[in-house]
Amino acid sequence: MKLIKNIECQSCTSVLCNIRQDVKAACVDFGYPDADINNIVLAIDEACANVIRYGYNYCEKGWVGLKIYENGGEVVFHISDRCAQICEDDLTAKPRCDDQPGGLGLHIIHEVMDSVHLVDGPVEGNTLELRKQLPPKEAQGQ
Amino acid sequence: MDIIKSSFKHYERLHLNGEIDLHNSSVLRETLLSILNAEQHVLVDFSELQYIDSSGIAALVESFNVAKKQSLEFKILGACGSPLQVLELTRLVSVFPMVDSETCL
Repeated sequence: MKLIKNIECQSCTSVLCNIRQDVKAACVDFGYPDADINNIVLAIDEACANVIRYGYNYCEKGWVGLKIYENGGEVVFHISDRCAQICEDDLTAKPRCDDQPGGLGLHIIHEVMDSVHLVDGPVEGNTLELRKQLPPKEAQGQ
Repeated sequence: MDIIKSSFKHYERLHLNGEIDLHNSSVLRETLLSILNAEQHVLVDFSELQYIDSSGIAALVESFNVAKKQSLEFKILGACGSPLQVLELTRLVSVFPMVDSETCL
């Protein structure tokens, strides 16, 4: 996999805006159409917000890492933390009731991304791997 | 994010400008609930909103449910672009009463 962007930041909600800008810039370079860019930026924002909210419980001294790779015909996002370890079951989107506010973030991530998994790796913490197909060459930049 | 409050017809109108995310969605939630606590109808103006995440959407859903219980109107005005996509992704376009323009009210 070719590393395109490596972002490291503290677990502050104020950094989410900067993360969105970086992800958007990368997605523009990858040639995704505008609608896909909006959705991908949202999904990555939701994943990082979940780390800050549920992993670090809003403690601002935590660490959040985001790596963006190009891997053949797809883009791979790794969102890493040093929180208590979670399991694949924690990533399952629960059935949603339309008029209930809970569970929206995970629902969005699954709707937008082609795959959502944890990767083995760090001794401590978690790395969430999100994959998204690149647009066909003829559709890039539209 | 800026929230500008004004009156429009029988609504308390909240004009949202900028980006709503986990950093500031609590402000939106508190503002919405305070309006509903005062038993006023709510019109949430999305026309200049550039971004909203699930925490902002959750604030809207919670407030919408409060409005329904109190038989108050709760409408979203002028959703477009990324915020409209979020409402579509979460299938909430069919839950919230949505209007395209003021003339529809």
